[in-house]
Amino acid sequence: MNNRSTPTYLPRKSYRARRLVDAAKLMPYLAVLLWMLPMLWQGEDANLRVSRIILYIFGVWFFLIATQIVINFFLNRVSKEVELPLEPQNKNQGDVG
Amino acid sequence: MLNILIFVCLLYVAFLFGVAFFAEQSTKINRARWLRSPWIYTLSLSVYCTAWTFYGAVGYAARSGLEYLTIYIGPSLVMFGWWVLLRKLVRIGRRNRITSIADLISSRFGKSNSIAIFVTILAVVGTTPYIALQLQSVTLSFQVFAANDDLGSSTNLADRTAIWVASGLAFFTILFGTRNLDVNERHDGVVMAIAVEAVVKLLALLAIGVFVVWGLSSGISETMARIDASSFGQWSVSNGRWATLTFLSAAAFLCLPRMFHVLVVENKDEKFLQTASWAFPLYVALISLFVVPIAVTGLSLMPVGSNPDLYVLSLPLSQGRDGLAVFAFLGGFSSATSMVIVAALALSTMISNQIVMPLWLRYTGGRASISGDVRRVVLFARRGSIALILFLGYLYYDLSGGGAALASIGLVSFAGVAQILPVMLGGLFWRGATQKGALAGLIVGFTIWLITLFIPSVGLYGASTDTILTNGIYGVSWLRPQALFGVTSLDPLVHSVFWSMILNTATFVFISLITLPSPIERLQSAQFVNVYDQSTQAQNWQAEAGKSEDLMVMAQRILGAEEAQRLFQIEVRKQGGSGYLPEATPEFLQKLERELSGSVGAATAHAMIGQIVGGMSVSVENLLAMADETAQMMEYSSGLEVQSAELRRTAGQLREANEKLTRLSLQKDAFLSQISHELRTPMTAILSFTEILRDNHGLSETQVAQYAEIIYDEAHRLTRLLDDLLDLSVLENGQVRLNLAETDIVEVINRATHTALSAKSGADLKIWVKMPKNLPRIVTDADRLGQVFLNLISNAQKYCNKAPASLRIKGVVRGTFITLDFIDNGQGVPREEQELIFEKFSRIGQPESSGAGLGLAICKEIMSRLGGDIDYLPGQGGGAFRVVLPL
Repeated sequence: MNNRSTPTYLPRKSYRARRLVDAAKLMPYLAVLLWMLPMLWQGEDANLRVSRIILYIFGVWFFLIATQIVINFFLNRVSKEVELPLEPQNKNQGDVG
Repeated sequence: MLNILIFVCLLYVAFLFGVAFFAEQSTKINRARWLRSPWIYTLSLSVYCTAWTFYGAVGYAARSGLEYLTIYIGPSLVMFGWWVLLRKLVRIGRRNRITSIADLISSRFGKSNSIAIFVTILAVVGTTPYIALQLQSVTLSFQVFAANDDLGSSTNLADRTAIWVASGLAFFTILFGTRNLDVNERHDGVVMAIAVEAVVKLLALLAIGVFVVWGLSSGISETMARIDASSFGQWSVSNGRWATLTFLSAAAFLCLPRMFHVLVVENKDEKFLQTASWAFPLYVALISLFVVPIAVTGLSLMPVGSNPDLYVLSLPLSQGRDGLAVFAFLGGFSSATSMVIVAALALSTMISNQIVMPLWLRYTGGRASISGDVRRVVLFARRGSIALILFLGYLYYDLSGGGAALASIGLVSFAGVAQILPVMLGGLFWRGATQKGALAGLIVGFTIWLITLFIPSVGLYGASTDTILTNGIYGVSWLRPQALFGVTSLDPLVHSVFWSMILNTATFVFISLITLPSPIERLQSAQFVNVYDQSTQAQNWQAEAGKSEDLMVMAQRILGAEEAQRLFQIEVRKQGGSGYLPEATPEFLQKLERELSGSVGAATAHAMIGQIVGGMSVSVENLLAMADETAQMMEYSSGLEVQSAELRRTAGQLREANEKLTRLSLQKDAFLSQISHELRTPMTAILSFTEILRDNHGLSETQVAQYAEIIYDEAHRLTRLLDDLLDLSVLENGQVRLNLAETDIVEVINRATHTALSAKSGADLKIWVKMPKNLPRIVTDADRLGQVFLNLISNAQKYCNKAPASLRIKGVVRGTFITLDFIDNGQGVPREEQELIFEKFSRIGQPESSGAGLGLAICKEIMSRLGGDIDYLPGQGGGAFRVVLPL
């Protein structure tokens, strides 16, 4: 925590911005994880219905789309106020909030 | 039925032509705000969904269950990860004016031509069968309707369809893809047509799906029950194929030439990616939503043995829903045509930029600044390549017999272009990737793909296919194409992708580690990998004075006169000068190279500038970019260099200003003596003859008349000189009153021409006037304007020393201005005099020519009073002046 009496709203915004970028970067990994999951199910449950798998895969699809929309919405809002970090190794921007 | 289908089809094609035409027109008149929309961009990405996915997905699902989903999951993954990869790719593409994937790779690896050629060949080999597949799908779908009409499926019909479709597509692509040589390689007409087709194919597939689920079944739950009861009621996808195919389709989404074209080259705004990052996954999710229901319903309703690839058509037909079937046909037709159009466009850009242009440059003797319009060569090369590509596609279709062999080519093609992926990713994220490594990796990957997948699948091993597959190439058992190194348990596709990607990447990395990159490669690698770092500018051209005119001549030939002049003018303004020739600073050279590479590709543009400028230099900034380990140490000295460069620049500017002032002062002195001389000569004559008249009374009548005439002439000459001086001072002080009235410029020109030609002193001068039609009348001072024109024409008469002398006057409307170029065929104005000719009292060359050197100075003043401008236009092969007038 920052004990000095610095204005807290500015750092907090850029902190949020960086976390949003983190979320955007994590999206493909989440997608891979969820979509590769069915590979584990094979042979485990003989009663597993294809209709269930279809529901699962499309469920993942629409869930990811919705998540992406939410992330984009906040990214847009935040980027109007602070500059988004561009590169992962940006030395000038620590995580001190 | 078939006739109606052909009619609908033609109607649809006409509609697409209309859409493309309308989009092009809108862009031209700058009303195309709606074309710059993320939705159009997202829809254009749907060229990914070809006929293979439109018809084939259902067949694929009917044969192998849910595996077809991987084809759409891969691209969705890429889009969800836009922040990491696509954003960087698009940024690099836009910054470096990348024209194709071959251009990207070549540009990253030191603008190397060999690697560009290799990628181009790989792309052509991988895409041609895919185009054949599209032709086949259109043909097959026609046959479905023909069979329904009991016309039978004659091969004659099939051949004719394929030929017509191929030539129609070639025509469309050439018409809208190569109409002009766009500096950004963008084609609004094509993109718009593709976006419309994207909507059509989505709606078509959804309509069929709704019909199947709610028309042929009673709803979702019944459909689900039917799916569970059908033959693929169990999850039966092999894990290896599930992962491999997902990877493959993700890789292909990035590396397919047509995908790269719509993703990167046609991208108008990086922000569009953000919208596409969820909208495109939504699009493919909707496309694949009803595939399983359609497949299951088809399997249960259609007779055994009917082709599941065509359920989308045959299902509604068998239920008597002809309208729906026609709609589905249009969907499939859209999928096929949009793929072929964009693929042909992307490949033709590659072929012309990476193969034809370098060859042409080499065989025309190397010098880029001689004869001919390069743009015509480029356009011709593109048109030729488009025709060639479609011909190859047709040929492939014809030779393969259009059989089942084609159906599997989709994935084979994916695996082929995926070989570019390691090199591309390495180039984007790894500074150490070298050109040799990239080329080696590509060659290894491509070869393995050829041996293990491409050749077996298209049957090019011929009769000995089986022997080779079981015994290995040349009987070497560990070289069995589908069981390399004795690994026999893998599915052929997984096997090929596994080995080719592993060995490709390994070779690429290993060779990169042990080879050294050239300086330009290191610069490019810094540019690419650190693209977000704005300070990394590769300014590697050596500033070269006096080359500007050569550069102008070359740029005009590639970008077109108008665009080149605009570019040079902007740079001149930025450097704080006037006229059309900027200093050839490293910054400007780099900018120019980038502009040129948008038209002819990075490698060619680099070579062309290199021919003119010659040297490359490495600045401290470049070194800094190359070695970021020592960045901090060097930052200080770089700062010093920047400062001293700035000082140098300022000193240079001051020196220039000083020189100009000195020259002006000399001129003024010269003028003063000139003007005294000019005033004195007539004065002396007047004085002496008046004296004679006063003192000698015995003069004859004729003598008196003769002397009076001389006195009159000399006085007249004095008046004219004083008039000019007065005129100029009035203009300069802004006291002039303009007689503004609606004027026809052509008339003013004609009058000036007439006056100039009828003057007795005028030498023989041929004048060609070319003005645009329907020129609006403008409000200006016709007399003053005429004065300017007359001055320019009589200058040409005076100074053009060629026989026969000729002067071309050419008017062009540019937005809210009209420019009039006066170009003669003389020797022109030497570079060092160009900036002086508009100064007062300046006279070029022969001092004995009449006039006091005020004409052009007066012209300049008049034009600025009229709200326009006049400038010397260099690089036109003669003396050339450009008059700019507001409309």
